[in-house]
Amino acid sequence: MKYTLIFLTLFSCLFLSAQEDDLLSEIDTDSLGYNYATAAFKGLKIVNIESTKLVAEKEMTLIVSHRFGSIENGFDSFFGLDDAVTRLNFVYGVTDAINIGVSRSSFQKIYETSFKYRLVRQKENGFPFTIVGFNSILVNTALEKENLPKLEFKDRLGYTVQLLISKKVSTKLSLELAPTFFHDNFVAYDEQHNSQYAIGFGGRQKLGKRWSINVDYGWHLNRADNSPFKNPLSIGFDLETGGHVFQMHFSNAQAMNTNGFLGQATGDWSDGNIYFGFNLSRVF
Amino acid sequence: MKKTTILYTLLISTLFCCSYSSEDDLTEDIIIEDFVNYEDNIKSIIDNNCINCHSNPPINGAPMSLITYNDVKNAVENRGLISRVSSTDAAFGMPFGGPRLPQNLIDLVILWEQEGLIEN
Repeated sequence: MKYTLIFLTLFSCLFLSAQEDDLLSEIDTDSLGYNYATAAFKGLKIVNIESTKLVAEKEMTLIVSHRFGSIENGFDSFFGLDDAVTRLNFVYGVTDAINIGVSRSSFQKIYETSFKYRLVRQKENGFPFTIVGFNSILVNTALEKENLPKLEFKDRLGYTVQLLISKKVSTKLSLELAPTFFHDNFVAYDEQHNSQYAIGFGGRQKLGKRWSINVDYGWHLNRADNSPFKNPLSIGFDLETGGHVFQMHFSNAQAMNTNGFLGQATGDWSDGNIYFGFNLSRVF
Repeated sequence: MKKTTILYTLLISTLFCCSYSSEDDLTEDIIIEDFVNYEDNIKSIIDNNCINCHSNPPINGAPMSLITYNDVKNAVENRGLISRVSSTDAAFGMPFGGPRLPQNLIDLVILWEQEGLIEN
């Protein structure tokens, strides 16, 4: 019941800000014109966490992501090349402010559909933040009935509700805050509550015309004691090359879906157990 | 207005689908009569989880097959099978790409080793 209430509050907030957006934009068309802050982030993701960028109307973006295995095993697995997981993610822009996406990740064979919608845009002399909502539903198809005899389909499902609040502080620096609620109907670690809360932090600092350094961190708020999972910290570079955005990074999370990297990151920066990875996005 | 309709639909569908399971809720107790043995207890675990790749010949980069008793015994003794299946490190653990096996099955394999890797 508690969670129902939290949910309702959260969504009422969304509802209110959506209205505010409509009103504000109506005023502005008559008087000032648009002075929106553009391109706070170049990629649809900062590293792991979704950014406030959306795909433009009627455009399709394919994001191919890889996370190699741990680099700590060195040449034995060629710094993780042998143990890579992959995610293919198609995102389509229904409008400039509404995106839908489908993806398949080889990490636990997860299918995911996502829904990303912009509520408010940052404006010069106007609203100081861009706020985007992100929801997704995940299906973990790697759970096996042979191993878990009482498995039902609903146990495979997971959900994400996330607010992405970004601010382009200057032409070079953008920051993001991402309060997140996510729920996995099945958790492998018995002590872990299925409903989980996290706050994501992210930032992008431009270093040159075509490249920038990106960092994001997920702070899990109700992780069980002695859980084998860690908070994900990722550091990477964005490189823009024409129609591609190429993001290379190191992260201690191998999973690429929101529930995965926030809830099930297993690496550890302090002992060098981190993963190299990249996201490659291509617009069609 | 359309936006809010979609939002509330999502909200409602989310609320009705939440359930709260963890590993203990979905597994059953395994009853072993005297000793754990390969034929009755271990082979099914290996067949369900490993031989997709650890077939004969092995595929997807797997280095050895796990089809026969001798394959599995050799993997436990010389190739760290138990450390791979019990690892919580997603990139080192097996089955590759996860999820980790339920703890009761891992415990069964460990017990099998402790009791001397009995065949049948």
